[in-house]
Amino acid sequence: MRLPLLLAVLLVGCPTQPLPPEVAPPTIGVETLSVEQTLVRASVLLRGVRPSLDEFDAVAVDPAALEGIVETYLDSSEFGAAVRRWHGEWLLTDTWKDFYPAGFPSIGQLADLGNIDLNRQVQEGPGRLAEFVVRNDRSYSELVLADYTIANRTTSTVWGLLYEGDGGWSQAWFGDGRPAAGILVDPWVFTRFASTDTNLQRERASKLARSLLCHDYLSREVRVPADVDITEGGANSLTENAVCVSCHSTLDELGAFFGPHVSIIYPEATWEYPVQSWAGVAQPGLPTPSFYGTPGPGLRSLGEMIAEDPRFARCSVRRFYGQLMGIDEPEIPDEVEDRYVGDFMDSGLLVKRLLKRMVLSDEFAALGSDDPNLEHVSGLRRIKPWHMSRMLRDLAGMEWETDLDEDWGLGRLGETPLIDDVTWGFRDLAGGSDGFFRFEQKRTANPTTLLVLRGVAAQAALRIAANLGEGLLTVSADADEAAVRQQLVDLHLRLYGERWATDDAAIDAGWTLFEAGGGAGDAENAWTVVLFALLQDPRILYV
Amino acid sequence: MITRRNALKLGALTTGGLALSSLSIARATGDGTRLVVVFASGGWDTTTLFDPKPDSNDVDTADGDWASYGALDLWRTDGTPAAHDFFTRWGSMAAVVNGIATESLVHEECGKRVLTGSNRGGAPDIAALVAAAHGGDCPLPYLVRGASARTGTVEALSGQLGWTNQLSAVAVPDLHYPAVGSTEANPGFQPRPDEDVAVRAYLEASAARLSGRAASIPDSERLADYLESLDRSHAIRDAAQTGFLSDIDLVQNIEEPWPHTVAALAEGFSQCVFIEDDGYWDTHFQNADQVGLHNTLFGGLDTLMRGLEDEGLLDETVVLVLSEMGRTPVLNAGQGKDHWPFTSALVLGTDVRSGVVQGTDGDLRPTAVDLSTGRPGAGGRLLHTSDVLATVAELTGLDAATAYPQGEVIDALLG
Repeated sequence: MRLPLLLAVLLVGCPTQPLPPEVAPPTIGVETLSVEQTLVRASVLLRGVRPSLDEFDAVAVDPAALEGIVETYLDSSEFGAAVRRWHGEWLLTDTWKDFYPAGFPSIGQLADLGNIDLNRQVQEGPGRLAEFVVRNDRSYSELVLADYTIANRTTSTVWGLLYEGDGGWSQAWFGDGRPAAGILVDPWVFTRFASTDTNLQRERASKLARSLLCHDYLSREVRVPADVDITEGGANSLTENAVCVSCHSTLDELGAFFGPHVSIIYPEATWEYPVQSWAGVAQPGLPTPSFYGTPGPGLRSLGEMIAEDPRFARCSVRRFYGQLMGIDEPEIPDEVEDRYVGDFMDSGLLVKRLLKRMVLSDEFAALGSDDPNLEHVSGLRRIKPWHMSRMLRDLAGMEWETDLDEDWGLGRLGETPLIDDVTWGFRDLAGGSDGFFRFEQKRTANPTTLLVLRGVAAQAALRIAANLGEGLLTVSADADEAAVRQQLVDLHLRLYGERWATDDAAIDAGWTLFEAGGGAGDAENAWTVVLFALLQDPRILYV
Repeated sequence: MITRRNALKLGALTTGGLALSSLSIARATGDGTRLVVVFASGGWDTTTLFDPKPDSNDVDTADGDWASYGALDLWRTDGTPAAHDFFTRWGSMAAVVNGIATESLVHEECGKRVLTGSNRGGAPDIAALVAAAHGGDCPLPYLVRGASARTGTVEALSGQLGWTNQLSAVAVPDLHYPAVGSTEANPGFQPRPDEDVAVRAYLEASAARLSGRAASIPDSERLADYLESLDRSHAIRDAAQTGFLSDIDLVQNIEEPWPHTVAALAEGFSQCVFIEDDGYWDTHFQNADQVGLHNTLFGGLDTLMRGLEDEGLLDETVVLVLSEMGRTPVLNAGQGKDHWPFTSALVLGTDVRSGVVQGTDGDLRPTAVDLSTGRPGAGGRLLHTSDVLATVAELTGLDAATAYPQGEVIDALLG
């Protein structure tokens, strides 16, 4: 059922019952970074950008100010962008733009869009829904229960949504009768995860179970017996062979919920919009839909059962914890869940509250630990390609893009973000997940990552130094050594959260770079060299 | 060359998880052996070429006939002339292994197992092990073109070429993409050599200083990876000024990784290369497409082998061709074939004994094999991914028992 827009807006921030008081962040007793360094980590991991000098000064005067600053971060649009990215990773919906499962053509009302840009917007849809839920302090259960979606002109055209916005992202509704079930009825999610007639929705079930419940069918060790019969017509192994039954008894019934989605969509074959993504009736041959033994009539009931399943809350804790702590979800110890899940559930699944507790904990601020029991607590958390993009935009006010004058039959590829694109850009090289073949993010450095980081630094340094006296560099071109050193002090604080005296060895190293670049006689080049180095520093790659 | 750090990391990452202290996983010394892994991602139909069952009523095999290439008996169809040419030329140094159990029916899990011999997420693939053991002196010991390679935590030795050769665009200033509105390469700031030396010295000092503060072994490793990667990133840029990376077309070569592979090995840029074939092998519909996919693949493999021969590298290079799974014996209603948890592998090398290791029966089901003869036999062994990888380890100068303790070397493959 469609929720009237006015009512939806009124509901934002208006919980129906008082929330229990916030529970203090947990402590595990590890050595921590300075409060300034912790601020950098929080700012980069929550927003992709670095703190302002005013924020550093505030925590230096009163470390307790960190809490209020974190709250402002959680209210920022940059945080919303991070939430989109996280969900793109978890749902595997952020992949390449120009091949199957993507590749929607720039035709009809969308002919004016570059093809990369069009498909990027399509892929953002599920993340936009998550962003809306999280930023507006709505229960995270809306991820699987929302009776709206979030769309813009492009996605509402592609999917044929009821959309009343001005072209930008706002609430929209499906007009094809699909139930209210958040991402469980999202058309891009189920284009990304197709089902063949013979697969019987199993991949969709497997992916959703892994993303939402951290129940990973695929990681189970299976010794497929030599006499297995999985051929059509004789496929009784799924119901009779114990090895097969152990997974398929629940997997197949879970998959049956997804039957009303169109089984498979080939975006490149689209010849007009909207694309039909909802069949409404299940394909034949599916079992009775059931959620781990509990039958349900449809996707709305599936959403309700997921939302009520403690595994959903626990899995959510694991997902968010992994993003902030720089650890892959399967490696997170179970006791971590216990530290956070109680308050998360008591709050009605409010994500910002959960994240605030995590960020203010000592394990978030950890310098690292040699305690074998705390192996999962990393002192160096590697940034991802999209962090590099945000950093470039924040510090240099620019995007690193090119304009691809190629048309493979889907429309001109057009402007392409280089750090983030898989096919043409550097996401693979910089260690990012491609969302299709490789799901892990690199947690350490490799040579191609450093080449990409060097490229980012080369773009940023040139742009920033060309505008001396503005933005990141407040120093003038004719500054004396004292002023240069003070600027270096400010840069170390802004970029790394480290305060040094002007005669410290760290600042001496910066001065050496300044002189190597020509010194005061060629200030613009000198600052370019300085920034080129500082932006490739391990303290940029790891926070 | 293998560094102590890599030896330690490898020890922790081999499939048995054995900790090595002073032992190296490398058995050979000197130049070592190169390895090219070609991965047909999606699942090939093993009956198309390697393991046909024309006499079975329970297996759908494409129309064709047997063809002998020395000790290799393979299936020949009208649609695979490139495969025929390939085996006519290279059959004497080629062996096929049929009936390899993948222990899963899911693409990514099967891929993990066939490339690493393990279901553990952090295990490196065979090429990563060989690169770490023998390729330390190369700028980029493990060059990856595709997404299925598994570099584990020997990450600092590896890097992506990119689907459209993007490595060139970050390694060669003249090949950087133009900015929007321009047609000129846009590499951003390009330091003078003396400036670059100063920047590098600054970064090395910074990483070293941070290392002194690292509180855990994993954090120390991350900083060590940074330092090693910094060295290698400079070596890549230096090599790229004149090598194959300077001559790559950023757009046109998306389906032509073969010459780059040869060049990377011949120039000493890499010790190992991983190539993911671009074909759509997951033929749940129209399984007949497998014929064309095989033909295209073997055309490329022929280019690869000819290139290696021209460069005098055949004696030092092993080529392993894999797909993560096979396809069901019979066609489905869509004339496709679904996932089958037994696959085949092709191994090429001058130390390879040509022949077929036959690990399936007449209905494409696994059967135990005598590893010394490669023929089915009582007391034999059902083939697993670790057996194939142990054999390739042996061929590439690794200690197979250490690298793949659960596997057994298939002696029938060794010349």
